[in-house]
Amino acid sequence: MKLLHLTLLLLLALSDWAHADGGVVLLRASDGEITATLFASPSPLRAGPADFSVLLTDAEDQPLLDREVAVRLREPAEPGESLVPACCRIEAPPSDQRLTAQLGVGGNGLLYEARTRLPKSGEWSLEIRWTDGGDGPGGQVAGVFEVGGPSPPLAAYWPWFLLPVGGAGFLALNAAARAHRKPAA
Amino acid sequence: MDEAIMLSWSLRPEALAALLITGLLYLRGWVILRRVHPARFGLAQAGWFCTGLVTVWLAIASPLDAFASLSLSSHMMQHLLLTMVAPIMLLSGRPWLPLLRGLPRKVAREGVAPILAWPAFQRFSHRLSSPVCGWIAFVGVTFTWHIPAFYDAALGNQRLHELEHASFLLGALWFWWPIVQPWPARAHWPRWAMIPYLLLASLANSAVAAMLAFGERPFYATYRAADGVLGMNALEDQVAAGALMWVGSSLFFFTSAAVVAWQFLAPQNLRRPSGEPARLRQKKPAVRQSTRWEWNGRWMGPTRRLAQLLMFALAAWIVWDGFTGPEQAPLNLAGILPWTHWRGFAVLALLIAGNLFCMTCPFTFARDLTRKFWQPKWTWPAWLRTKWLALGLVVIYLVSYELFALWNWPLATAWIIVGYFVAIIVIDGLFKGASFCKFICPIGQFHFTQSMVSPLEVQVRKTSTCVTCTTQDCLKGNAQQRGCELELFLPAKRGNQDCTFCLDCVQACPHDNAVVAPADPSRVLVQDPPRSSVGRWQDRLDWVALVALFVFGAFVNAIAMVGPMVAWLEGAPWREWTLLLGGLLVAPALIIGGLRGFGAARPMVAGLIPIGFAMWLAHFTFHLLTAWGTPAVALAGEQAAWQPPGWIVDSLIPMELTLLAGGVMMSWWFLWRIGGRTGVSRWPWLLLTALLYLLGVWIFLQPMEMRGTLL
Repeated sequence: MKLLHLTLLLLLALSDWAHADGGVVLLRASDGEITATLFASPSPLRAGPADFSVLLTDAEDQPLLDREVAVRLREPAEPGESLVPACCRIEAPPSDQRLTAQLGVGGNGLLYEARTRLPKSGEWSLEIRWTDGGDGPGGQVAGVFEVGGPSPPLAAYWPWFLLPVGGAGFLALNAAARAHRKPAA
Repeated sequence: MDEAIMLSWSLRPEALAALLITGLLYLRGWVILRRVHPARFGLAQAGWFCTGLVTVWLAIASPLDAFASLSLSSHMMQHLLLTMVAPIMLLSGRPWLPLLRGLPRKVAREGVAPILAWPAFQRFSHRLSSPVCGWIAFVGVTFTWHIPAFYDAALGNQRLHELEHASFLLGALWFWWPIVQPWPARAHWPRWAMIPYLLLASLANSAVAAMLAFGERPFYATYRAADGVLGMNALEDQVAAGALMWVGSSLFFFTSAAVVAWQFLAPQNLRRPSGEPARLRQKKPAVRQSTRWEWNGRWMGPTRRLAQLLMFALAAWIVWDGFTGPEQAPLNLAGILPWTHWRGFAVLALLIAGNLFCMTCPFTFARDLTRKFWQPKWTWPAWLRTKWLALGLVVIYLVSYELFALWNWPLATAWIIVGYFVAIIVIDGLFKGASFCKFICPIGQFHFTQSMVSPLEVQVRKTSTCVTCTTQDCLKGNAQQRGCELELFLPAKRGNQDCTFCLDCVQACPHDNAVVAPADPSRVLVQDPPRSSVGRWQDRLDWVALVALFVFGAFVNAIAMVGPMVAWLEGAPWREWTLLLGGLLVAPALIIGGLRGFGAARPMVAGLIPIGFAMWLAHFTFHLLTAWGTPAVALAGEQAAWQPPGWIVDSLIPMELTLLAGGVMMSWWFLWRIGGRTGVSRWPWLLLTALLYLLGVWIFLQPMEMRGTLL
């Protein structure tokens, strides 16, 4: 049973990086006959972990599932609030990030997904490039998007702070119940 | 494309864990109850419940979820599964008693049972389970979440989306409860009243569905933004979703109303309000069988020796690298393995099983090897048979660790390991038994203390066997096997204090009566029974002081590595001394000092063990995860590099907060129970643990040094 509890704890801890849908549509643009739709999560975007998913469709709105997709992010010219990486002195993500988006890694088999950390708030520019992996013609679309300041810890981790609150509530209930228990005859 | 859609499944680890644990709890309780009431808890009930859980899983992890932010009809199908299909299946499994019975006995009896037996709670839950509350909950949840602002917010935030689904499922369970009436639930209203209950809910549901189906524009911004993606039209999708909600829900409402009407009108059912056949009342209860898990570790002898040999070889390698390898700690095995990997694995072993480090200790391996040639003659002096000497060494270790940055000094680490080997060989070469382990070893004391909340312990299988035993081989040994060197007499042993998990007693017992079995920490921490060779908490100030030191030491050790504290400490030398002496000596002394002369209060310190252990666990697991791949760097040299993957970095704070929350909740539980037993005021102790929890949270939210890495 304790192993089960441990499994639950570990899986709860891992749940922060578990995600399924691609988020909400952030950008939709076409290059030739191919249309790229960019989904982003969380919505609205904030400095911190972010998830970018790309859907490529042809002129008949059929998804293209055999492309090599790259996402390039460039930080704002006038950056705002910076993310202090709680927990780790990891290398700050570069100001010019080139990410490879992979098909289906986020759960949705139609989306090319890339995960990263956005270190600063402000207006970021974005570029999506795709090729067919060979010498065939590729394409690209570009756009800008707004990133807000990092979430305060209480907002970012609120479910974990509820655990001791729930525990205290249970303890209080248990104590009250015991206090009102009738003495044995 | 169809194949890609069908393969769009997501992991959802937290939901999977919750469903698995719920299922296993149910099945455990179902197996036990089935022995007593085989007809009430038949295969059908288990089948319904498990299928209900699978339906919830389908709703939240299947392609329906993957496309929920793209298509409202896909999202609607998810909600239908959560509100119509899964709740009816789950309730048909009669889940209440199996889930309760499936809980660990201690949790059910001491945690949940007093609450369920409380008349005020019974009145409250009776009112809450009335159809009015269930109807309001269901309709309220349906209306609230379909408001565009809330719906769009949930689609943009994963946590909110999970909350939305949880509230749909809970609201629906509440709503369907009076319809299904899972045994032993009793009806609040006459059965016929369930028909208007269902029809009114259908009316309310239809209002929302009609709004979607007849809407002239897409209501939700998320789907408006996705208009045209994959050739879908947002308005058409909304109309389809509305139709699905209308038809799908109505099907369930009307079918259920028809079934209820049939039940009401059928005369044989009128006589049986709970729907139970009369023959069930005649069933005699079966004899309860023990379900305790036990492990006879007799084959562990050679396995343990092999593990010790491997640890010995590893220690020798670490010492060699410490003396001859690079001075840069992250590139030297002596700078990584003892401080990062070994400590991390040791605390995880304590959490999962027990004191596995002492079991595989390389130092006792060297000691045993020496004793093949040299037998000790003396007995450890009576005046030193306490933990004070070990406590002093723990303080010296914790102070030296910070002052000399031992984790960053491979040569010193190598010397410490060599010193350990010399010390145990000399001391146990002179004195009988495991004097070094019991009275000196600081590492051993750490494991003895933390293992008091570990899930496994060595104990007797049947006490009646020990009563008739005349040889006491578990303590004294025999010609083939030595007995307990820590002087623990197994029938009187309680908990893991002073137990090295060597399993010598298991090998020595001629009656096969010593086993590894689940531990019961509350028996030791709350009841404070007299323990073999240890005694009781209230008589052992040295034990109490050791525990207090390890609890405060956990926080001092962790706080010294967070960014703001490192900056503050670098300001002046006295600051480091203030932190170390204040945290390691003054704070424990204030607790212990306040207890002098008040023996009854000393057991309260035992209640602090869980939060202290949680802090050590979170801290060492942090280092283990952030420096997991560094041995490869140390072996390959400076040209190699290792960075923790993004998913590890993102999981660190949730992992630490979860462990700390678990620790503080356990501490509160134990303190409350100990206070109840001893009559000591609990509030100062509860406040102290709450403050320690907040301090831990603050520490985890600061930028931390990633020791053992090149970062």
